[in-house]
Amino acid sequence: MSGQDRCPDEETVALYALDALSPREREGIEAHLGACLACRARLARARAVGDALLVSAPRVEPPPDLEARILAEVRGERLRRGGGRMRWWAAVAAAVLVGANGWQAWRLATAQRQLAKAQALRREAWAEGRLAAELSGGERVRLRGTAAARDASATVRIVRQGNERIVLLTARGLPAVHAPEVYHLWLLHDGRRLSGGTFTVGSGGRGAMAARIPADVAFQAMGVTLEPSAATVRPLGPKVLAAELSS
Amino acid sequence: MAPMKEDDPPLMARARRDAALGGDPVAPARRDAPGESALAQAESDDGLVARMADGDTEALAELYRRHGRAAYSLAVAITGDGAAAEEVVQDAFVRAWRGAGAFEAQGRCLPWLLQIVRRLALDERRRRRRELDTVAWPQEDLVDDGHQPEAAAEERDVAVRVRRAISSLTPEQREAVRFVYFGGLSQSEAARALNIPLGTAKGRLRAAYEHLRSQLEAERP
Repeated sequence: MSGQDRCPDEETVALYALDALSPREREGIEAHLGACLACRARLARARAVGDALLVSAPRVEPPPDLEARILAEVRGERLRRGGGRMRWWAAVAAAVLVGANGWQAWRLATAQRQLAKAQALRREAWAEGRLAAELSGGERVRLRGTAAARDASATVRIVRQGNERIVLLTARGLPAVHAPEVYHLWLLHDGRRLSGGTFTVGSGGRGAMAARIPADVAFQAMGVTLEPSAATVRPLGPKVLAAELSS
Repeated sequence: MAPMKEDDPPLMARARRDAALGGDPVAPARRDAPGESALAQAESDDGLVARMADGDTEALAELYRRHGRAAYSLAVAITGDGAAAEEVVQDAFVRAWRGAGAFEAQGRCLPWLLQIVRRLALDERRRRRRELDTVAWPQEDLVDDGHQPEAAAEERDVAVRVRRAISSLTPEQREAVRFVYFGGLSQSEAARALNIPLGTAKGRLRAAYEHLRSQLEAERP
């Protein structure tokens, strides 16, 4: 690579076109362009080769719902911009704060209601200075994908709140579910599997859920299975995520 | 139990990707290549991006309908994984939406979009290889795609010309291009992967570039 004041040689131009230069080398070339009209033309021709390669991939039809997913994300983002952005964990935790007792979790009727309530509760929680302290502490457990879902992973955060503990699960890389299938979190307590709740996944196999559990119930392991419906009371489907707890 | 889809982690992941990429993939392309690209698009693509910058989601939908297939095909070729490619394409169109206001690559909308896809796909590929060690090189033959009646005529013509040019490379040159451009390896990483001296790798890449450029310029309508 030549210095900024010298024109790059042909080999460097070729490597630039094929994006084979290091970021520093590339920056050096692009800095040179500001002072050299001749090299701008050379590199524009070179860039055209890289541009052309971009359409050479064998054509594969995208899934029919991808357009709708993109538009949903963009429209949701626009709504959030209008109403103020909320961090995902604040939404989850705030939803939990309005949640039911014991093993039961709160199900809100619509996404809008959920968002509005969560935002209101978030403000309240922040005002009390409670939520931040709770979410910064607690125990974090990482679940790994099993042979049935090697790309999957999840994090479970368990934070104590009074006589209860809040379980927050965020997962990614899980296979898509087809209604009425759901993913089900199970907690192993003294050899018994207890339900931790169900969730579904969206783009990228991402999903999240929250549950409250009594503070005095110890559990030794947790796992997620793919269940035929939310109605199952014991695991019937394949295990996709698993973790042993150290204590 | 309340099913909830997480919101911010993808955004955080994107921020990390940006850091890994050393910049924002939506950074506008330079303005210095008017009419030079083999993929130069009609004004209407630029018009769509202008409407996107004004918040018109229908313009984004139209951009997707025109170029979603090309974007997805590129993402699949690089990641080798349909689910990962879906995520990449979704991410890329959202970034295009966010970056529309800074778009300056007039006449080069499709390359601008596909470069976003490529950079995100390469990043996904690197991430998966690092974490899972399961990433394979694109398995499909880049030059044999058959007839694509559903593709836009202009895009199809360009694709046919590019594949013809690629097919006339030597196997060694084609492999070097694939490792570097579709595999995201640097020249020295490619040399190691191919078990050849760095100078040989550079020579193959230069020869491939010269050949592609001359073929594409000779065939330009």
